[in-house]
Amino acid sequence: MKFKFAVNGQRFSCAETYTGVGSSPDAGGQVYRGSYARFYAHDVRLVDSAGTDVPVALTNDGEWQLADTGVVMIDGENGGTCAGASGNLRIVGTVPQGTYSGLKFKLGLPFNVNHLFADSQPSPLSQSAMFWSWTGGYRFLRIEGLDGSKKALAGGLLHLGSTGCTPNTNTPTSCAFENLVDVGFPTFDVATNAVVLDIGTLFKDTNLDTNLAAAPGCMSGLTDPECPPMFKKLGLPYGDGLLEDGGVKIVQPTGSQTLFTME
Amino acid sequence: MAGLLSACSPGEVLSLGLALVVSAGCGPVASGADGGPVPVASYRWSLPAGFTEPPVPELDPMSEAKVELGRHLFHDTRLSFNQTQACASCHQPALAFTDSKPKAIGSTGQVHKRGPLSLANAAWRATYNWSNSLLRTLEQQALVPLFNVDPIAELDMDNREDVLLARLEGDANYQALFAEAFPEHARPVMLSTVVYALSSFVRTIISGSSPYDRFINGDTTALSDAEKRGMSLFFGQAHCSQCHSRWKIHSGFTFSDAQYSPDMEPSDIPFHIEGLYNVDGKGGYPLSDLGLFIQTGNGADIGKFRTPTLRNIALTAPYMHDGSLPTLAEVIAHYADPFSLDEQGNHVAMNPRVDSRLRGIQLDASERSDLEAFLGALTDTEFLHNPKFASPFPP
Repeated sequence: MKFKFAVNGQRFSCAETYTGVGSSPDAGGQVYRGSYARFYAHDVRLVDSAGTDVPVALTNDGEWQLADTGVVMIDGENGGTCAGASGNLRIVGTVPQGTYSGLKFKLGLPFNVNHLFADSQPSPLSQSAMFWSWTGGYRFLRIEGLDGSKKALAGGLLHLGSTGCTPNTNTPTSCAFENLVDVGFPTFDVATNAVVLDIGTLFKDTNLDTNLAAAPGCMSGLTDPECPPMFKKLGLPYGDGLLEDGGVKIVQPTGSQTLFTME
Repeated sequence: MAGLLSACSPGEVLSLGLALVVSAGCGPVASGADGGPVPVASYRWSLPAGFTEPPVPELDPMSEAKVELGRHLFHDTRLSFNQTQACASCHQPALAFTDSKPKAIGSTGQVHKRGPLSLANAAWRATYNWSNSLLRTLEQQALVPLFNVDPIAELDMDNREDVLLARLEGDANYQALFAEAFPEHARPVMLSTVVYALSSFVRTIISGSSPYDRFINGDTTALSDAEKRGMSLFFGQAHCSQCHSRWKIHSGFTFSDAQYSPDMEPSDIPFHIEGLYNVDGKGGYPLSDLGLFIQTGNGADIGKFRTPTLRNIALTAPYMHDGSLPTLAEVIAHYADPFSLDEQGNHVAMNPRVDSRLRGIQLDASERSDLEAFLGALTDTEFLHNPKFASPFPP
């Protein structure tokens, strides 16, 4: 299964500078260069002709895929201004012989994997770029960009992962916002199609150069004003301000994710 | 995952004046990386009178070799990407492992929203960080300064674990230290062993030889009259011990109710709204730091923080999570006058959501002075200059 990263329909490369990205009021939008572009996926399935989900048995490759937990990292970084020199844009696995018409996977990590001790895990769980210790887990998705002078963007950043997790003796037992994203395409031919994550789509309603409040960009915080436009595209619930009683207004998603497409 | 933390002797309540010699070692058996048992030489804790052994994760049993390796790592600027900062840069032994700055500054120059916490008696914390219920062990906490990027990059090793390990593996001295500390591994320089050694060293950062400790262990001359009066206020009328003591008596190694105890349920780990801010008259905190809420997303947790230790508190100015109160007299006034701060730092009416234990504290000028004197009696000069915590590197 092939994956691609794109920016407003153009192929994503860490050597390129993209214009017209983000919600800037300036004509032509803002400038974007890549620095981080990677995510975890698991529970990869193909849909057979009877409409049944068939799990894909991932091949253990010692770097990007873990057969026992079905976890894979997709990484679009390829040198240039990116943190990673070379990434991974495919999932390799097996299914029983048959006719398959659809693809499904979950963005993120299985609960038990997310809360392992990060200091002693096999690759790709050993990548410190995805450690998110203060939440008791990992980042599921990390997209970060740079401006034209190669400085980190104040607004153009997303760290997605589980939040509101409940403490236990060592690791959490549950999370109020697990923030796993179901991705699926009813007609997907693994021989010809590819899954596309378009960074331009993610930041379409984000002013890349401005951080309104809280963490830079969106780090999945419930009071971070950069999060709602990005979480809407992921089909996830998000916080929309504090209520009079001190609670947080939670907005439930009205549809499924629109960040991932296929070509 | 229950039961990963074990303590040889659970934290017992110690009554006033009881000197207790804690016997060392209880025959730890570790699980090796492959799950098999690895024999571990019994570690002998050197504990002050009245202290019981701290909890130690089964994955990371104590050893002298690990502590020694950890001391090197703690003081080594090679742990930061640009090689300008070590753990000890913000956690300086002579300042009770703080740095006298209101807010910590990372290796890249970014300013944190909070100040560095003292590491005195860190082994007994129920949680780590100013306000986080998920960081339950030093091993989990160690990854934060190494790899965190927000609020700041501290040691700035995000995405650079290979750089860190290559630096250490390329150093002959470290090769020997790691081999001695982790003989079960053919290539012992790994992220986990770095974390384990750092954690083992930090578990030895123990302060228990202050005038207060000498007094409760029987030396009635160790405290001045003012300090004794201040102690009575601390454990009584001033309400301090209601949060700054695990047992509401003179024991408690950490001077914090967030002290590890085997019978403390994770859901019962205490965090308090101590009312430093009241930005809107309704108990609001600055959006830049909402305390425990940041992690839990629960509105009731806005402004909640863990009770920090008071050991060596006279040396760790400025005070509170963001260093906004410059002196201990100011901190006492914050509770006793009482006042909160607005976003500009002006004194305003006390936060209406303040923890009930912090209401109604009345202290006159001489009582405030006595209380401050008692806090000064928690300074442990032996601890501040303990050669076991010193840098092994030339200045």
